Amino acid sequence: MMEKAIVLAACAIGAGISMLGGIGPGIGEGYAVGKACEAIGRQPESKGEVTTTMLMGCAVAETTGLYSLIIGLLLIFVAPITFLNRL
Amino acid sequence: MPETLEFLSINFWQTLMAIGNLLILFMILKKFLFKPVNDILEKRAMEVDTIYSDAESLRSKAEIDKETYENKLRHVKSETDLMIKSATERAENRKEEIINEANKEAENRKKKAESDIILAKKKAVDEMKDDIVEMVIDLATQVVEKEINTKIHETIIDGAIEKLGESV
Amino acid sequence: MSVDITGAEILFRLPLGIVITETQVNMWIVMLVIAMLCKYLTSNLKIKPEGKRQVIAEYIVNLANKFIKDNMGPGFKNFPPFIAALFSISLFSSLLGLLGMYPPTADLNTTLGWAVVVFILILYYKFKTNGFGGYFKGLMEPLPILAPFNLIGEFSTPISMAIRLFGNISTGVVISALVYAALAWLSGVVFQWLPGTLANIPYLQLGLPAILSLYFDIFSSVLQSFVFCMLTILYISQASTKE
Repeated sequence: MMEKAIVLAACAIGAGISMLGGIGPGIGEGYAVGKACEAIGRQPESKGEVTTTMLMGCAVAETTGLYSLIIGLLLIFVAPITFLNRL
Repeated sequence: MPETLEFLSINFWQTLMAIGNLLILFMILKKFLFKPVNDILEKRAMEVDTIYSDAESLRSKAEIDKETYENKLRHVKSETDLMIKSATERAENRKEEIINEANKEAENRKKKAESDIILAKKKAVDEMKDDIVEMVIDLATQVVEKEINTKIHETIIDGAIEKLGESV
Repeated sequence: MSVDITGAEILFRLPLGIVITETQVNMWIVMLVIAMLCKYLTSNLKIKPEGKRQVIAEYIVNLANKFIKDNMGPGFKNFPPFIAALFSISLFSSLLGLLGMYPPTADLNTTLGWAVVVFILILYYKFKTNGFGGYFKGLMEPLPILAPFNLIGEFSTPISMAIRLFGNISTGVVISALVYAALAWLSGVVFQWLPGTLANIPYLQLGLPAILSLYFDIFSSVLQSFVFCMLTILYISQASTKE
C-alpha cells in the first residue's frame, strides 16, 4: 500500500515538475511576439509575412514545452499503471 | 467499459494505416479536385488565348478593311472631283461656244442690218436721184416749153442738181 | 468521481494484431467527407464558371498552387494536392473534436504516420539534390565526431512534428475531459437539492466548454494544421536546395 502511494505521489510530483518546462516556451514566444510587434510597427506593410514567420517560430519554440507536456501526461496517465503493475 | 488503447502508445499497424489514409486522400484530392480544376483552368487559359488571337486577327482585318475603304473613298473623291472638273470644263466650253455663237450671230445680224441699211440708203438715194432726175427733167421740159433761155436756166438747173447731189 | 483519459477505443480486432480503432473509423469518415466535398465542388465544371461551387473549387486549387509556388518555387507538381490532403485531413480530423467525436490527430500513431511520410519525402529530396555521398558527408560536418548528434537532429524533425500536432490536439482533449468532469461534479454539488433524476443532469456543462473548445478545437486545430503543412513545405524546400 505504501509503495503504491509513493509511486502515485512521485508520478504526480514529477508531472508537476515537468510542467516547469512550460516556462521556457512562454518566455520565448512572448519575446518573439514582442519583436514581431516591433517589426510590424516599423514596417506595417509587411504585416502578413511577419505574422506568418512569427507563428512558425512560435510553433517551433513550443516544441520543448510540448515535450515536457508529453512527459507530464505520460507520468499521469501511463507511468502509474506500468509502475504499479511491476510492484 | 470499452476496450481502449493506451493514451500514449505506438502501434505499428495504426501508424501504417495513417500513412495509407494520407496517401489515399492525396490520390482522391489529386484525381477529384486538382486534376479537373487544373484542366478547366488550362482550358480557360487556352480559350482566353484563342479569344485574344481572334480579336487580334479581327482587328488587323478590320484595319485592312478600313484602309481599303479609305483608299476607295479617296479614289471616289478624286473621281468625282475629276467628273465635276470635266463637267464644269465642258459646261464652260459649251458656254463659251454658245456665247461665241450668239456673238457671231449678233455680229452677223448687225452686219446684215448694216448692209441692209446701206442698201436701203442706196436704194433710197437712187430712187431719190431718179425722182429728182425725173423732176428735173420734168422741170426742164416745162421750162423749155415755156421759154428757152438756155443759158440762165442751165446754170440754175445745174446748181439745183449739184445741191441735190450734195444733200444726198 | 473518476476521470479516465485513454486512447482511441478499439472497435474490431483483426488477425496479425491489427486493430481497428475509433481513430481509423473517424479518419475514414473524414476522408469520405472530403471526397464527397471534392465531388460536390467539381461536379459541374464549366469553362465559364456558373455558380459558387466552381468558384470555391477554383479558389482552393489556385490558393494551393500559389502557396506551393511562392514557398517552394516551380517544379513541385504533386505538392499542391499533397499539402492540400495533409492540411484538410489534419484540419477536419482536429475539428471532429467539436462534434464530440474522438479526433484522430489526438492519437500519436496518426501524427507519427504523417510525420514519417514527411520525413521520407525530406530524405528523398536530400538524396536527390546531394546524392548519397553528399548527404552522409553533410552529416559529418563540422566534425566527424558530431555525426551522431546530426543524426539525432535528422530524426528529431519527424518526432517533433508528430509530437507538436499530437500534443496540441490531445491537450485540448485532455483539458476538455477534465473540465467536463469538473463541471459534472460541480453541478452535482450545486443542484443537489433538485428532486430525483433532475439532480443528475450536469447543467453547468452547457456554456463554459464552448469557450474552451473555441480555443482548443478551432484556433489550435487551424493553427497546428497550418504549422504542420508549413513546416513540411519549409523542410522539403530546404532539402531540395543545394547547399
